[in-house]
Amino acid sequence: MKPEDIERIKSLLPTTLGSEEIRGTIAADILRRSVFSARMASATYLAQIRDVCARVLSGEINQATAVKELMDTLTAMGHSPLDPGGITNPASLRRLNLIVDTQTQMAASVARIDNQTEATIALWPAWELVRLETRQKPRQDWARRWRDAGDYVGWQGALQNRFIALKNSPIWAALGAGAGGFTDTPGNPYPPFAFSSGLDWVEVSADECKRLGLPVASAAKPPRAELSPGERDILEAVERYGFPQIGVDL
Amino acid sequence: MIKITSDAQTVQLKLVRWITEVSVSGRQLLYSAAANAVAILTRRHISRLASWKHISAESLGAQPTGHLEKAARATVHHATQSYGEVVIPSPGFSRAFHDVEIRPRDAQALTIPAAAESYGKRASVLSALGWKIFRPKGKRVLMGSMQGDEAKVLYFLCSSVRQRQDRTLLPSDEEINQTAGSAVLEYIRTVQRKAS
Repeated sequence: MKPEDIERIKSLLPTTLGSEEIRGTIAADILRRSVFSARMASATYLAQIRDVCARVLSGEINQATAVKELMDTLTAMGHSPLDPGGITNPASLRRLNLIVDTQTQMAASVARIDNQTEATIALWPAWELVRLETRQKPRQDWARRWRDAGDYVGWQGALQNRFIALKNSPIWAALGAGAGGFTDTPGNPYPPFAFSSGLDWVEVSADECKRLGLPVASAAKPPRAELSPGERDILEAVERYGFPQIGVDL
Repeated sequence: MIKITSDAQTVQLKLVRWITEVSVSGRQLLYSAAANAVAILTRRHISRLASWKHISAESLGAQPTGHLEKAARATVHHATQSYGEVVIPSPGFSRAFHDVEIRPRDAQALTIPAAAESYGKRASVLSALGWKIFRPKGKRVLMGSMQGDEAKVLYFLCSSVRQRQDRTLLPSDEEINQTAGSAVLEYIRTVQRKAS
């Protein structure tokens, strides 16, 4: 699935609740499938958030245009970026950029997870959380967040000295849920793991995982019947046509 | 250069021919391995570009918008039984393959930022932020002032902008072919090891 499709199938969740109340009263899996914004009860506006974010994800418009369209709608609804309230003001520039960033990053992360196959998991079994976007004031507490999330799940499939864990490690859910008491997390087991975070996943190869001591695959050889249909297809092709001979070593 | 490209294409053709002999489920796995490998390469390449390509923002003394970093984060792969693809959701990257001509869609002119305050923002957003924006008669600019300050040029107005092709925006064809091919072969070896 493509990120823009993931964004387009989200439901709208108008609410008069603030961020803390939303986290406390609405199940995370509902929030994950919804477009919502704290204290925003206008379904029309939420539909526009969904639409502009999908168009950013498809490359049709850029972020500046997305923010302009949201701002135009909010202005017509009587809001102004000059209203007081800072980030709680629906029309503040910072909030609009945050909405577009968070929605698009979440959809891209879900697409990355959705497009995983046995092949991609076998070749790259782990994620590493690294900084991909610079920030003027980057959070200084990522090591603590990682430690708290790791302690919470007993370091299952995760390294303690680097932000690397198997793709199926529960540490990602713990990090997203704010293990250790962090309340600035969107609550998802995928990036962004905190609002406005510039950290994202890069994939870690099976060789690197083995070198680092992460348990990447079962040592037991499965009987052929336990191979997946796709794996059996590949083996049959090797038996029938030989290993691909392409004239160079890759 | 031509020879390398030719070799890469030959390798690719031999491999693609082999993959098409694999039944559908296996083929999709092989395409996903290739596409994911190229997505990793592409993200890394764009991230490297982002670390030094802030020329427009820096020349205006503005905070970079981070559009390259955002593009790297949003790059995803997708595979079917017929192909694998990598999608970079940023129209600017088509410039890697050809010249790009940008024309206004819903306006009379393109607005090219000319000041730190306007970088990464549309004119109507600046208006909402309290800027008084006007077009001086006969000039191809938009000027603005904030709370009675002296007016300054915020945007240049252009009927179109032509950007020249820049192949360095993306990994080379050779890198892409090699990366995709290596991933496919590595996954075949992985399956063989698993079954042996």
